Amino acid sequence: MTSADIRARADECLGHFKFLLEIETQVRDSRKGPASSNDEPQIDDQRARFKIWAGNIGVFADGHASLDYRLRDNENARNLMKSFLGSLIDFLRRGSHLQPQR
Amino acid sequence: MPDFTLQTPLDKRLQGVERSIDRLYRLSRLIRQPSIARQNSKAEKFEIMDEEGNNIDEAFASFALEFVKHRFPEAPELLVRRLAKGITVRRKRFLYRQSHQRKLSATSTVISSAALDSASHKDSTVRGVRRLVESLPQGSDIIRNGRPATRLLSQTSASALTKRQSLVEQFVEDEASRQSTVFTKSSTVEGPMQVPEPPKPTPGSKEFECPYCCIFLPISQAKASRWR
Repeated sequence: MTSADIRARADECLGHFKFLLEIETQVRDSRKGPASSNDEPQIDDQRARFKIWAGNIGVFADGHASLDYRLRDNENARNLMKSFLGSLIDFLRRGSHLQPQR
Repeated sequence: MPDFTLQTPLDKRLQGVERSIDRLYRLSRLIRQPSIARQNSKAEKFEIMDEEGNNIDEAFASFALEFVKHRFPEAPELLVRRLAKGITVRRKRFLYRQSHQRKLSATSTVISSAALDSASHKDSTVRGVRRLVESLPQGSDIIRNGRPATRLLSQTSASALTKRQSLVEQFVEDEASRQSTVFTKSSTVEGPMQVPEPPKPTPGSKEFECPYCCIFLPISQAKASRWR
């Protein structure tokens, strides 16, 4: 049974993106003026890039079409992929920690 | 150029996010390199279908033949046949890749439609998100009689990346030289050959998906001279 580590990490990324966007929306709503420093569109852009990447390489595809399956014989590639996703998660998490808590 | 002294801490994190995604794209390009070559042999067996699902392989092949004869009425028979076959094979490759790509993009999780809507309105990369939306299981070609099908019509397999292929060195090299090692095709034939225009990427995007071969290319390849 192929592990689904890559998919799991990618899922986590999506979760963090969603969370970060929710926070940004709250921040924007709480400011009564023009949201000139709002980062929401940038975050959304990166999320779109991520989703497009995921679709293209088959991260969330089923069974044999998945990225986990594709990399089943190459441990180096798997580890590299997992570490890139790991650092993405890290940046997203640190981004959400920076936001003021309501 | 961004002024780094005025960057907020969040901006820095976002830069990190952007760079991480850059790396994901780069690695994926390297991963798919060898499988693109394999695709060509699979594409030979691909059947061209019309809107109703009828096999029109023969019809297309004769169309290609007629087309070539019409364009080059004085060409020898052998050459005409070879050219027609080439056209047919190339068409199959494009169709196969599109179909394969659709299957890779299809997901089994239900992405909430709210998330999809916001992505499709605000994304800055051409076409990709719309295709993702089209290829989800909720698309009209998979739902039959109002019930979503539980599996795709034909199985697709992502070509395995074998152990022999050492990516780490390639990746580091790629990053250092900032050059795409894959797409170095230079045609020396200048002539009345028409190549379809490159897609126009939305400003600010860093990569785009070739609408013909479904490969992601860096934005630099979208310039007319490099596209050819």
